[in-house]
Amino acid sequence: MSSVTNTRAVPIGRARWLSPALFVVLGGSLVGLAGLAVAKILSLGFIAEAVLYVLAAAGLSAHRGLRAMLTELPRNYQVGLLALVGILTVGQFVAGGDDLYPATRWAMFNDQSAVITARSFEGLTESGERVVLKPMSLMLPLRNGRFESRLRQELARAQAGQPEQFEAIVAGLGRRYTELHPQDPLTAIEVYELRLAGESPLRVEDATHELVWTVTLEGAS
Amino acid sequence: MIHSRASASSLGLLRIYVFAIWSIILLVEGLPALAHLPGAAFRPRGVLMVIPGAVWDVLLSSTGLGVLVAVIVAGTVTVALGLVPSRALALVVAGLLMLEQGLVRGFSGHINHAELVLLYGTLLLPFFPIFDVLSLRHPRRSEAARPVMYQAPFVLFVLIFVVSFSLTGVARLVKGPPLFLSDALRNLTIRDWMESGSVVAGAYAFPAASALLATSLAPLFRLAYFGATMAEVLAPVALFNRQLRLAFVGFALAFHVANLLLLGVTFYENLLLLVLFSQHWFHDLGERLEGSRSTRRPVEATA
Repeated sequence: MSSVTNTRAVPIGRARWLSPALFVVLGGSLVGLAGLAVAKILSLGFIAEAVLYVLAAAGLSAHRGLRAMLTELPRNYQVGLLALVGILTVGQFVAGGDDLYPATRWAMFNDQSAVITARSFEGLTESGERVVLKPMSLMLPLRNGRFESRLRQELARAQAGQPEQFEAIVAGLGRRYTELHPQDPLTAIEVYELRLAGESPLRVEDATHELVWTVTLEGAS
Repeated sequence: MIHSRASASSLGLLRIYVFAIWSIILLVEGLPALAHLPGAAFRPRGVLMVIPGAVWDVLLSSTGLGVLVAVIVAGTVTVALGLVPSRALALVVAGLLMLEQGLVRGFSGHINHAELVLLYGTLLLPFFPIFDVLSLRHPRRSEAARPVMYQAPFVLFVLIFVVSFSLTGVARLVKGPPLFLSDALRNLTIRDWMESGSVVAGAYAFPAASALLATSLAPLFRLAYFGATMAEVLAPVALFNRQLRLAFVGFALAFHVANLLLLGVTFYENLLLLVLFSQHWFHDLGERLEGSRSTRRPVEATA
């Protein structure tokens, strides 16, 4: 005998909507124009954001099926979901959002720097070989730019006179490499900074690279 | 509306799917490698700041990280299989996943977003009857929950997915015309491209196609940047209409593949979650799996 009965689905409801093409054209135009216009006129990014979030929330709540589902949930679930929306909203608006984990600010790929900078890590082994080090590959849990942004910050601090953290982290990279390649451990890591002006026309051959830091690893002669 | 056919069997399948994804992530990513980094480089984030420093000292060692991974994987496998049909246990495991994800972000320069949609959905799942079906053991309860309790987690998971896209798009849109008239996306691509080169005989050798990226494709990058941003902003429409949902899935697939190729950023978790945008086949699969199991015997819950 089954311990749970009556588990078949019951459709909640069906909503009517504009035809997809018309909705996309009208809705996209409205949203795009509203956002760009408010951002430009008011020069207050967060006001424009708030306006667009309210529009999006209004759009979502206008859907009968979604409303029906949310109102069918027990009251404590509704309160919980409202609290969740509140937390996400705070996370979106508090500067940086780094201190509100697991909430955070959802903003990506907005960098508009005039100069493109990148870093390259080159390891020198005991046998004299030079190897390319990929921080993301050596520290897989820190993939997806997590480690790159940290290295960028710490290198800037090192160049400003506080090198301890950067050197300790780079040394950690070296230890990880040596753990994976014990037959030819690293003795030092060179850090290069690549720079390229970001305006068009962009000529990659104009990029400069400069050795900005060298970290000698423990145990190296 | 999407997921109007969700049922206890498809919710059970969702449980298995989500916790299996986490099991694989934890087994593959090699968390103990972080023990090579100095403890002083770790900065606890958000809610993790309540954990005392002495606990982090133990946790961030090679042994501590190894034990943490083992415990979490044991938990995710237990929940996925339904060995202990306890929603309290599922919530504890979800909490440990939040700890693990916060731990890696403690060494990071910023709170990145790759696993957060999956994490948020995982934190919500234990509040719903996820062990009723497709579970090696079942809760003591004899009556099924109301249909909305099986359907809501699917809708909420999809809602989190599309809202995260929309928030990202809006945050970019309000930067205004200067951003979209600039070469921001091209420059981000170039930066990632440059980092994949190397120093050869004292000179930096850029990878192939750098010149192509730099010159010919600038207008295309601007167009793609604005188009992708608008698609992100409008992502919530995927909830309401099958055609728009298919279009969004197509966009999301192309978007994440482009992120990987151009920016070196992987969103495997989001790609795997795209199955939740299916109208019927995920639920059909759940029901088929339920129907193919042998006769269940009622088992008492242990929690």
